[in-house]
Amino acid sequence: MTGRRQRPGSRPPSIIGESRARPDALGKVTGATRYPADLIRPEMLHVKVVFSHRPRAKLLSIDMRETLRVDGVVAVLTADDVPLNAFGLIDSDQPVLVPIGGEARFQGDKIAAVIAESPDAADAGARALIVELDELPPVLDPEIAMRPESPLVHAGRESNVLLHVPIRKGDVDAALAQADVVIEGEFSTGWQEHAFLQPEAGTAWVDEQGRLILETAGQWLHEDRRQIAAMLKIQIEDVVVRYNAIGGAFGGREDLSIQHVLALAAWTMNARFPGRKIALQWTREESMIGHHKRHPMRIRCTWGAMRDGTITAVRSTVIADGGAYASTSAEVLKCATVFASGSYEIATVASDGYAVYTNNVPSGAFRGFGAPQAQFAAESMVSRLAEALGIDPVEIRRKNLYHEGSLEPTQQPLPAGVSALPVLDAAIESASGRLGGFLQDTVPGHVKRGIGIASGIKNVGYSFGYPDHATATVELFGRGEVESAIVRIGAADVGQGTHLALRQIAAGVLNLPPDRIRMVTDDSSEAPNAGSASASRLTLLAGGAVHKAAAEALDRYLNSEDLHVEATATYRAPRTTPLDPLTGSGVPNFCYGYAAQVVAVEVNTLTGQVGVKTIVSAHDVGTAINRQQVEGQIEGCLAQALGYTLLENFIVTDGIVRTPHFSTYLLPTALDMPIDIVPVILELADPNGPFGARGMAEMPLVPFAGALAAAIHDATGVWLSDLPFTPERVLRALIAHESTVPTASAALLTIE
Amino acid sequence: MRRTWQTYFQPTTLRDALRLLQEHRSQARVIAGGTDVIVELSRDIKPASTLIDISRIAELDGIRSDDETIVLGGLSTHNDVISSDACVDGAFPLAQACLEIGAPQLRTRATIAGNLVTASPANDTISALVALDATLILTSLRGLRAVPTDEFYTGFRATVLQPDELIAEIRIPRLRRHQRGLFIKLGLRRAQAISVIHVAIVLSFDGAIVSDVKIALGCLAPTIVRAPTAEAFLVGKTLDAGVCDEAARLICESTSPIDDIRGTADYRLLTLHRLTNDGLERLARGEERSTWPAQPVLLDTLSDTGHPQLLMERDGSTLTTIETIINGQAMHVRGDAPRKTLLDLVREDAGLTGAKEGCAEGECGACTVWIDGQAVMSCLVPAGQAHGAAITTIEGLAESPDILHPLQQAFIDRGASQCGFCIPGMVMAGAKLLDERAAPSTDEMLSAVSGNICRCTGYRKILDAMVAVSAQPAVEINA
Repeated sequence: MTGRRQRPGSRPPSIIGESRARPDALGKVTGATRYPADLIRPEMLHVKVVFSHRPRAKLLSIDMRETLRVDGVVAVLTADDVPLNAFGLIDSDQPVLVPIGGEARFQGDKIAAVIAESPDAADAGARALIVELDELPPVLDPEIAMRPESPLVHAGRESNVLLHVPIRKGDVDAALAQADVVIEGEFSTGWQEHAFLQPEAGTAWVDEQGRLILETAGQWLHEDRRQIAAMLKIQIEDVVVRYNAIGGAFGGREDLSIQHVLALAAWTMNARFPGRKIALQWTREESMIGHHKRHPMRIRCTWGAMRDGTITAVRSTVIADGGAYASTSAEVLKCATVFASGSYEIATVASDGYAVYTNNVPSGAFRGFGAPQAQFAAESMVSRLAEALGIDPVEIRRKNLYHEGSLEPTQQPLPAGVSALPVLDAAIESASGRLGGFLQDTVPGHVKRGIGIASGIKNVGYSFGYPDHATATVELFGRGEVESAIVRIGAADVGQGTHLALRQIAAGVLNLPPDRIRMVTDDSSEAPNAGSASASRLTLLAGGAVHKAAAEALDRYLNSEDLHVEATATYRAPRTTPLDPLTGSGVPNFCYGYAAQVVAVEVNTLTGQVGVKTIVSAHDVGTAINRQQVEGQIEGCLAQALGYTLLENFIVTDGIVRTPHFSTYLLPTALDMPIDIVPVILELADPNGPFGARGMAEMPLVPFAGALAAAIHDATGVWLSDLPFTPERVLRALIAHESTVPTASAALLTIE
Repeated sequence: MRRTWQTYFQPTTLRDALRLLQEHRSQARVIAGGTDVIVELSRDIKPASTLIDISRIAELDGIRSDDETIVLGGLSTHNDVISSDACVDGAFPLAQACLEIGAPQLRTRATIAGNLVTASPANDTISALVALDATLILTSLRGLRAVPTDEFYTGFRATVLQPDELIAEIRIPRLRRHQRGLFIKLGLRRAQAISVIHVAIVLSFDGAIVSDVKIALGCLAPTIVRAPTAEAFLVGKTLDAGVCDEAARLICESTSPIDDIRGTADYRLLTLHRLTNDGLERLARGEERSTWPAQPVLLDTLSDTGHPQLLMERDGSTLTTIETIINGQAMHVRGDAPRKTLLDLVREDAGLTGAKEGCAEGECGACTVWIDGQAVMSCLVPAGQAHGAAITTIEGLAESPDILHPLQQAFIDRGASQCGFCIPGMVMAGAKLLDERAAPSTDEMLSAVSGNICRCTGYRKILDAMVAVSAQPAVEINA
């Protein structure tokens, strides 16, 4: 159809890929940007949460008389004040406030909320609250929790197993019997804390129209709104969730943490204090015990291969400590179980995943979502197989990696756009040039150098039959040609730069300078639902929605004489299916991101300290919408990967977190990161993504631990199986190994 | 942060301070740098309703030295030691210990005396002072007394310091030409790490023969301890490989480590043996100073501390009004300001929310501001120390709203900001480094921001931005 107006330019949009500076950077470098805590003022009412501080205890009574006598305290909220005292992202199995007679199931379960005229009064009131708890023996080890005789974390359930995921492909027993080499492995991984720099904070009030307004930080406006409306038993239209600047998230703001308490406080206090704003801000310590963590997992596996390097069988058991509440454990576990055989096409696979309730801190979403744990084990096993077979670790990967049309463990072909091999080749090519002299350099006698490689795969978008979609509205304005646009999409910019990426996509479709586009993104009543900032999905999904809405709006504009047109469009991802409950067969995902890494390390054999010298991290991003931001995601994710692998030792003893501060839970500093970080960006267009883009922000976490384990092995001959690789664990392994001769260096450098 | 103290005194003479101390005794705590005291108060450790800020007492300031002795005034900071030629030359293990502690923004404020009084077996400077045979001069209205450092401690976090006393001076016999010493620290990361173990060694030589030995060990017993059998063994020996190894073995025998979250007792003993052996060998080869930086990063370009526009009203020693200059604007803050931290003063009273609270314990750097030219963690500075001082926050860094500081512009151009929460503190640390030296090396840039945690960027683009602004030739960027 020929439009009545002229279609603007037909050249390829140069804005796509441009390393354009972020519009939000000016406010961030000048201090003008307001994060939730920056909006808290003394004249508001202030909330202090009272935690159980016990891993498992029955709540007998709450005596609030002393609290109410504290000068400035205006109220104490308990379970009695909660209209629907159950919430959760998937299962509503968590109480907002533990009821009398109910059980506190982890240290961070909330007992009450004290509301006062000042933060100090709220704090004093919380200290004065007399809470009578009957401590019960906690269930702390997931494998013990799985036993029939174990006490139940949630009374009324059949067992503590939250979910069992079986995956069966082919005859594993026969394949293992026929394999030339069979090796066994046992791996463990620890909790990881998101440690977003901005602790949870927010403000809430009821506006003149009677709507509950909540200003905070999160990952999904519309889901926060849904859960809060359900808890308060009010219409979702009566809840408005707005995000201020978000100081990092990484999955850690996916579950409600303070939002529901704040909403409850504002809703209940409105009768006494109409319209008054209520504030809640967690300390770092409260944040550390209050929100979920990355799942600790134990993985036991047996891998078999033929002499030529063909991997023929994988049997594995994955046990994930889900902690006290369901959170997203079921989905994380499914991902981990699907990825237990890595990114390799293996004829026979038998994997069993178990997510288990315990009285530990709940586990949930964290960048990588089960893939890093599973592939730490899988990549380590592939490297060990290569060693056992005397095959180059790159060659064994080339031989077995997924290619177009490969069958997943779930017995269906992979989604189109399989780039496992190209990313491996790109990583090797980049590393070969850089690391030529690394193993030859002279270093002190107690320093050993090594190089390791690993591959990785992670889904983009929601999985297992969830119909993933995102909606955007685009408005265009102009006399004769489009002069400006408004893009409405409720997609959270948690720091990853999604608002700029979406703006560049809109600019690319509309052929409009990006600064003529206004983004409306942070208000659930002003912007449609884009789904969460998770699963590396916003560039593909929200970008898809913006692309579609912009194209439809442009068509409308060109075919009308209106000065203002508007289009709302929903991008729907290709269909996935649930896993078959007996065999796991199905189409788990519609898109994958592929990664490969080469890591060079120095191991101090006096102390066990590991220094990472070089990281080459190769990723197929489909199309880089903004190359600088893509690099930033890779580099930043690598810091979290390095922390996860070497430093971040989240210690829980008897259900109590012993590392609740930044002085005890150690994050990488600038001096812990190598200067030599090399993002290698491949752009093999995705068949579905806007301008060919696919998600990428989680992928650098996936291969890293496996690559580092291989590098330490290359340096010292030691295989490490327990994350994190603390200096103590490394040194113990070195001492245990001291009598044997170190193996030769990886064959990597012999590759041209 | 929760208000934990009620009354704030800021005496200007030692005599006034000692009077206050005698009057309030155990109700009061002495505060100088604040880096330990404020963290402890926030956790109800040694609670106190009254703070006596001794930072304005000129008599306690400064480092002086002669051929025999180095004297650290009670207010001497870690930075003072690091930047003192006398200390680097004549108290090298102490200088090493000071450089390994915390981050630059802590070293600008934290005092050696404060470290001694905190009395944790993990306090690095204590071991160095024990090995250097330092003597502490304690003062009170009752008079002065001298206590050798290793007699100062009576048990875990316990000292002989009386409630009415404070540390006036630390006297260190200067290392002689025939003496060599070093400090060894094992931490779990490369900056901002509390020791797993640490060791200070001072050896005196008669030619190649060891004539005297002092070895002090941290995190290996309830207090800092000496290693008497190893010390006795080494006297009269030449430091060959066998002697070093045997001494290391004997050092391990003098300890009683425990398991804690940083490591097991076993790991402590394993590394103690290996690191002391290695350290003794380095001393034997004379290599102990090889890694000392020519110009350590200080983040301190002490500016003019006289501010004539401030009237500095005083009501005796009690501080009830804070007169300060924030980003060039004079401010008089009354009310409960003296009960706050500097961070809360800036955020609540000045309404400047660029500085952030990320940890409230000086570990993340998001609260970094400048106070009279020093970069500090404002969450650990009592607001009273802004009295009579000039504060610069991120909001005051740009020359004008239209002209950003070059580092701010570089952060924008290089994509160094993601979630952005750490960025105000990061920029304040980086900009202070550029004030301190125009052409910092890459190592210096990384040291300067080593107290600023970023969870988003991996620091690579932050480094790119700093390189872009510095006069250094560019390092290879993501080639």
